[in-house]
Amino acid sequence: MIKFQNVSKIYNLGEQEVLALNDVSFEIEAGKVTVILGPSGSGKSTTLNLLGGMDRASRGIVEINDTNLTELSDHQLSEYRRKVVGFVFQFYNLIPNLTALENIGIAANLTKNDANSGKYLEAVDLTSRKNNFPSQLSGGEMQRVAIARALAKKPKLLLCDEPTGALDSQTGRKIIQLLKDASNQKTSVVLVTHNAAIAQIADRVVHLHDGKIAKIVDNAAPMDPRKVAW
Amino acid sequence: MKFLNRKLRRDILSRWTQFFSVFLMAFLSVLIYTGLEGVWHGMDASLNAYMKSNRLADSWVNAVSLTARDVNKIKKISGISQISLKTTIQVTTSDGHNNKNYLTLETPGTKSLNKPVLVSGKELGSQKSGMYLNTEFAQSHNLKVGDHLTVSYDQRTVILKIIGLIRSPSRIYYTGTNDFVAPNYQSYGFGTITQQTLKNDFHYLGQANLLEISDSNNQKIREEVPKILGLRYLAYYNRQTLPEVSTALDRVGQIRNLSIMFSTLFILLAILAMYTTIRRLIESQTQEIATLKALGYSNRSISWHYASYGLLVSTLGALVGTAVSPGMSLFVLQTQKTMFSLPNWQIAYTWNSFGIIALVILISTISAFIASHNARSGLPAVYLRGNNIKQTHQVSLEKIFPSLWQRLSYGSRWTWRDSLANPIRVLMGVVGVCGGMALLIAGFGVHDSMYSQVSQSYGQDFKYQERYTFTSTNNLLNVHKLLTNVNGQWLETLTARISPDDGINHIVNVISKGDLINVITTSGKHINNGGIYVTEGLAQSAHIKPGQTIKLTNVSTSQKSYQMVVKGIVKSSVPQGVYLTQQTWQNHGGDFLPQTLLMKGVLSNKNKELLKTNGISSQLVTIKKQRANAIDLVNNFQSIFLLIQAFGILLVVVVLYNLGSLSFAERSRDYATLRVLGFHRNEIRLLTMRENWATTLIGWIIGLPFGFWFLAKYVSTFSTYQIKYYPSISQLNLVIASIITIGCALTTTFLIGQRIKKLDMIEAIKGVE
Repeated sequence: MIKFQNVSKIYNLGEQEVLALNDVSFEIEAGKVTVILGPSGSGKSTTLNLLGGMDRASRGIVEINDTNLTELSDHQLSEYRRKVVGFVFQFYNLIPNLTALENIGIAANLTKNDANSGKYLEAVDLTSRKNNFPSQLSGGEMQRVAIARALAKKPKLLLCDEPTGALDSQTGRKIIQLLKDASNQKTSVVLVTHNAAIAQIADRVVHLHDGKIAKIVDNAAPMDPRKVAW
Repeated sequence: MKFLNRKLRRDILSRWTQFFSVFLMAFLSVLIYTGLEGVWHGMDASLNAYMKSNRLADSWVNAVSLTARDVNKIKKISGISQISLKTTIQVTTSDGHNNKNYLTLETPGTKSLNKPVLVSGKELGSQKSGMYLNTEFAQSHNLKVGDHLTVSYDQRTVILKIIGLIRSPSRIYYTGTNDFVAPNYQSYGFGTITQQTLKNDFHYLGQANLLEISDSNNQKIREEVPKILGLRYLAYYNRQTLPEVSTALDRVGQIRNLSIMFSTLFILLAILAMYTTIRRLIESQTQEIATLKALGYSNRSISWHYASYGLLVSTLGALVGTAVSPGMSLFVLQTQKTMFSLPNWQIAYTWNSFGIIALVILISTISAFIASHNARSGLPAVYLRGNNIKQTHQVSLEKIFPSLWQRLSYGSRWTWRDSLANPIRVLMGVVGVCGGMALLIAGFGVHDSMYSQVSQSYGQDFKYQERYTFTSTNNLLNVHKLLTNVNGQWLETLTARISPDDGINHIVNVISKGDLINVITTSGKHINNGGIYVTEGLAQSAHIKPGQTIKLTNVSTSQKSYQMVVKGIVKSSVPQGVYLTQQTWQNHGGDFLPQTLLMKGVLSNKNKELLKTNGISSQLVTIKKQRANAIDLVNNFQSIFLLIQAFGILLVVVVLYNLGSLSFAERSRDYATLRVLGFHRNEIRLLTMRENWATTLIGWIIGLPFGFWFLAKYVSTFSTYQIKYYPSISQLNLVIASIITIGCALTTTFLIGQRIKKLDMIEAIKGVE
């Protein structure tokens, strides 16, 4: 269970203070897909950063399995990201000088799971591309490698920042399917997007607007990713 | 352009640390060359002005019993414009502490040649009695005009009034004796006295013994004068071989060569540092360049904007370097003033300095221009999107040794591929470390080489305690037969012309049996009977090889020629010339007439008394004093060596930091991703260290032989026809040079470690978005 309790985040930009998140509270259930939906500047990425232990809340509690992230040291946050969290970025962020398999291996190695790198690559149907470098892969392939990399750490929490933002709709649907499948493996998936269509696959949708929660919608019958259109 | 100029100004202010390294390199490059050029060219200009205005002679001939008739005959040799006939005598003086000092007194000769400079006192030539004393000797003994000096000559004591203090153009670097390599104004001085004083006070009845000649054909005089003077001829010198003048001229060449060699390597490395800094800086602005393009700025205005980063900062550095360089020139000149006697010291520059300034500015500007090329010539959308994925390929290692490759860690594989994908960056790193190592080896080694020469000469090659050089108005023939039971070794020093002739009369050392002269051949053997031994410096310049037969013409006494086989090459620094045993010399028909006695201990009172009663005077030099004097010479260069070391260290720091920083900047996005994935800082630090350490190791390994080669070239610039320096660096200094280089690499890693601490994961990831 992940809890966001009265979380605020203030950025100091020179003499100006920007309130990116204002007293936000919500919960994420284990094994479910949660979509954080909102326009630009609504606080989506800030929420993701706080969940991922990449940033600290100015006020409030970010609690994951009874651990308050705001109280963790830098080293503990690294351990948290290493053992608990998996990341999928909009632009994939693969290491250019490592092959597809090695990109998975370097992350899996953190949890001593690199022997199974091939299995994860197989899961995203890219075994034939294992020795290819990122520059030799298409956008969809790179994102599938990025998902495999994230899953190879067996994360309890998979955070995805606009994972389909740079992809065409057909490839995007495949990626959403993979993320949905990941949630079935007792991994909570948090997906940040401004694309309302994608929100249809979620178990819960947190609508953000100007740093505040506009509404939270629980979806009793999430849509099959293959049917999502945008 | 107004807004671009504002951007330029603000960029420079906000990233001043990066610009500072470009400024520093431009500043140091200009400072090191211009500062040293100011010294050597200034010395050259001062010397030339002095030699010209005081009409320095071109040739000097030492002989006995010179007459006006000889002068008339010599005048007929083509190319001679003026001759001055002088008499020189050597007198001694005591400083009240039982220390004997030596003064060379000479008659004025022709006014229009070798005109002394009057520093203080009565006008030259205005007085009939008294003496003009050289300024440096007077200063070291607190003597002033009007003081009296008691001197001894030929068992006669004469009190001379000092009527003036002078400098002489023919004694710019006055050691007083060949036994010393550096001036010792405390013990050796010179002065002029009138012919009347010489005759009336010193009762000198002999003829003149020195000819100073103004001529346009040195070689003709060197060949013809001995024929005219016959057995009365003793020695010939020109400006290149008279140590009192040639040392000053050689010093100009030494500092010039030093300046050129050091500056060349330094500037090459500085250019490397400037290029990497500017490239790093501009590569961090690729999105801004794309934005400017998208806004409609032309390639030309963008090019000019980014080129002006290099132009502005390097111009500023070069200007400050130019402004500060006279200070450095003055600092180095100050150290030379203790050795050379010149009336004026000036700093002067050639157009080369302006060339260096222009080159430094041009290189920086071009670096900036090239660095902005990719983003400038690419499509704005590509760079605005900012998600360009670098092209990567498999490296040879993984194709050839796949199983070995699989055993490497992911970090190692990453480093290998990244390094090989950026060969220029790696090459620059290797060149930077290698060059820095070479500069440090040269900086430490040139000092060690000179010290090692002192230890070798006065500890290994010569093992005497005291060295007596005998002078007498009587015949010297019997000195070595006169002294009995001496625990020493006799040495006869001749000057000879060798054939094929290299234009210089060389020293020939004829040695009696003994072990106080202990020079060793290149094959590790001692000097033996049966042939001559040539020192390595002479052998190299005259292309002499063992087994070769050469002709020696004794130009200092008999004028006889001898055909002799070269038995070996001697590895000795000073003096450069020929060695042979007394027996070999006598077997070839030579007369052994030694003037020097090398003593293992001290000369007995009985022998001293014998010398006195036979009217033989002696000049005593201890090896301890010779060693101290040689160390004085080394210390005279100390400030230059320290400068070289300091500049070398600075350069290594900047080059390594820049390269480490460049590598970090290129991969910061990947490091941020790894941080997000859960890598700890020290794990990332280990990743960043790999390339830096590999570069440092390769650079260090190549830098060792390159450094020794550079040191050998560097040291050879100090060698002259009289002295040869061998490259040498102590193990300690080699370790220190290595520690500095490797330490700089470590420091760089530490500094980059600080940047990893500040690595902002969110910013790095945002940059991608």
